[in-house]
Amino acid sequence: MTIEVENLYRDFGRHEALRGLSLTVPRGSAYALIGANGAGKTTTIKTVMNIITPTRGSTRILGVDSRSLGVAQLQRIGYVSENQELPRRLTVAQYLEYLRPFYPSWDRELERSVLGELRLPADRRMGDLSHGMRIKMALACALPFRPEVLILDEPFSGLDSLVRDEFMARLLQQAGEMTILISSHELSEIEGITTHVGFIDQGRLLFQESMSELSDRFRQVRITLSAPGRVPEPTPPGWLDTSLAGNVVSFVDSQFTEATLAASVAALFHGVRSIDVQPIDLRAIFTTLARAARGGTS
Amino acid sequence: MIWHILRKDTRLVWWLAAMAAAAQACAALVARIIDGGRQSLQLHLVGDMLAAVAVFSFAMAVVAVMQQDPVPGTRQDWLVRPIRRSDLVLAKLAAVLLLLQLPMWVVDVGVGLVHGFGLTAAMLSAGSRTLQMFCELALPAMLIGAVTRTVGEAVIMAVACLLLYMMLFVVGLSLLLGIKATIMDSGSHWMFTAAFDLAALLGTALLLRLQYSSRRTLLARWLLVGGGAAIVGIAFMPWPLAFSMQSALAPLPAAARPIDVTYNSHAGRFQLPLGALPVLSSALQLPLEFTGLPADSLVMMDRADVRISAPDGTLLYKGTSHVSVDGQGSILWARFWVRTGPGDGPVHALYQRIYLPPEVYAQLAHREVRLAVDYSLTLFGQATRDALPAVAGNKRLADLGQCRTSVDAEGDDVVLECWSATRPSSCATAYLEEPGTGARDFAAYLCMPDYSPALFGQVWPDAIYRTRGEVQ
Repeated sequence: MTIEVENLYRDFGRHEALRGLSLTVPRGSAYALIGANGAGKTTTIKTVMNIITPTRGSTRILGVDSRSLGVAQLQRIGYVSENQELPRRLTVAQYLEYLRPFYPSWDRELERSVLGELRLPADRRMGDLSHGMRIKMALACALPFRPEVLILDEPFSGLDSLVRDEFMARLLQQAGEMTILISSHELSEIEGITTHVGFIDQGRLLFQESMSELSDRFRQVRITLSAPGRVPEPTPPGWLDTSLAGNVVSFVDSQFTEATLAASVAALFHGVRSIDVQPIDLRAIFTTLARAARGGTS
Repeated sequence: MIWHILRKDTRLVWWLAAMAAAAQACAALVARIIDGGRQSLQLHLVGDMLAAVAVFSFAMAVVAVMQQDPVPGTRQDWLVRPIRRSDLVLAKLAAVLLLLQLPMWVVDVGVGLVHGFGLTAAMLSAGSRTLQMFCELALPAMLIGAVTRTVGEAVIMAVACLLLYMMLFVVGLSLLLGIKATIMDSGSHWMFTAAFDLAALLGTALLLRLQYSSRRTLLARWLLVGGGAAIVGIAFMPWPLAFSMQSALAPLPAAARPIDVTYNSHAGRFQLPLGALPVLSSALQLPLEFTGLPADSLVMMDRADVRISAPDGTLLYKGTSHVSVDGQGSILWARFWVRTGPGDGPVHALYQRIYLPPEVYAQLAHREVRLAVDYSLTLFGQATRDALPAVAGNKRLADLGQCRTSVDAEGDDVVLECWSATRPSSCATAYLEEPGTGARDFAAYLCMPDYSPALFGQVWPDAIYRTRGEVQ
């Protein structure tokens, strides 16, 4: 595993930001940490990077306890955050020049290519860059040394779609070379590269699994009945967001198996005219889960 | 990577360093004009202002160096870079020394050379000032810079600390409890400076380690504020303790033992010298007799603790009398000096003037009281003796440096001014002498007691020691 988080707690005064969170990011994966605002994503990432010390529990990255992260490990980790503070009075070129000697694997050719593709003005002071440009600059500082691990904390916040596209296009070019841990609300943007997903709510990880397993087990189901019916109480485990509109029952099945769905529906409803099953995207899965978590179900 | 980080910081704060050095150079230029004989209040004000700007810019530049990679917070880019924390701290230290202190040292060396001192003397003198600036200004500014994120935050923290210490010590201890900063107006004030310097060195080592290794800003801030309070507290140490420490450190601790100070019951009432104006203040004139004084020596009163009580023992007044405020609100320097010449005997008499608050004086003037005075005295031996013409004299004197004489603007005093690259004697006696007859006029005592070890240098406004006195 490239990143391991075990039973992590972090308090800020009386507020418990993390409450026993555990997760593992496999080597070579692109792990999306998703959750509502304030769920604990940024705190988890900052703890992994040893920017914040945990109240309890431990995090390991590249085989080393985060609290012991040293030069050797940081030379292999790229980090991009929405609110990263870069030296305002240095120009883009000056800062890249400053960073180069810290990374033995820094690739000048790659740097030029990244800079060109992200269209960053080399002679502009970083304090004069727009928010979007600053995020791109953070990415430009994180890629040229070909990191083994790239950690992205809400990288798309406040970016327009054009900048997002540029960012993702550049990221995708190197995505295969590294392990990525990304937290983002822009699920449609990251769905293309995500291989694993962890869902975090109120400081706890509710589940984590591979994207393919997740896609396989979540389905939007619409049952059309011959006459108006009613939603069974309680709903079967795994049925989320269940609703009734006339004679149509809709829900998200979070434990979908093709073989058993028809039998379950037949046992609960009379006069089933048709069952429509559609795969759903990561964004819809997240929305459903977030709503369910707020409602007390999971 | 230390030099690499230093180069980045230099690129960012060179202009602040240049500003501090330029202000220092301008202040030195003004001081040179004043030393050249153009005395005016305006020039003194401009010189002081420029020296203050230099010091302030220097402190701001130190803070700015530290805040190029701020420690508090969780968003700074350097936190995720493969930068050794020790390299970062050493780079900051190197920036303070090379970028900020070196130019000021060069300016100070230049000032020494312009004053006619040799290169080695000028370099040593400037080095001594640099060392003191480092301990008393750079290190505290580094600490403040390490626990704040912006210059504004740093200024707020510094001002808040000053206000807190004023409330705690000036209002609390001094005004409410009557405990004074006893050593600060004595020659032992270096004890406070030494404690401050030592605490700055140790505190910086401790707090920078704490901040850069575990970034515990809140704890570091509390330690900084608390440590500062503890150091300020040293200025309020009991005087007997300070005096006994100073006595133990004296070159000849036992030299003053044979000297006795007694009440001179035969002296009678104090008589004003013929033609002298009566002093408009409420002062006692206490006749004293000194015995056992060696020839060619000077006894100076550091402090006198005065207790006046009723015959039944009831305490009526308690105070110190080396600095007093008279009935007009003026601060009066109430020290006394007893000087013996080469052929003088061991017994000397004088009247000590003890200023009392007017209401105390009025209350006690016509009643019988007991007076107890606890003296702290310093015995100076004569090291050298020299002479130069009273007017237009210009000569290097052994313990005072390069000296010159002139007549003041009013034409009634001879002014003696000396400049030195090394610490001059902290006590000198000057008098006018008729070469033919050997007759002498009143002596002027140029004593600004400073018993600090030689390591402590001159800080304000530059590295040159200046001695000035007027002989009537």
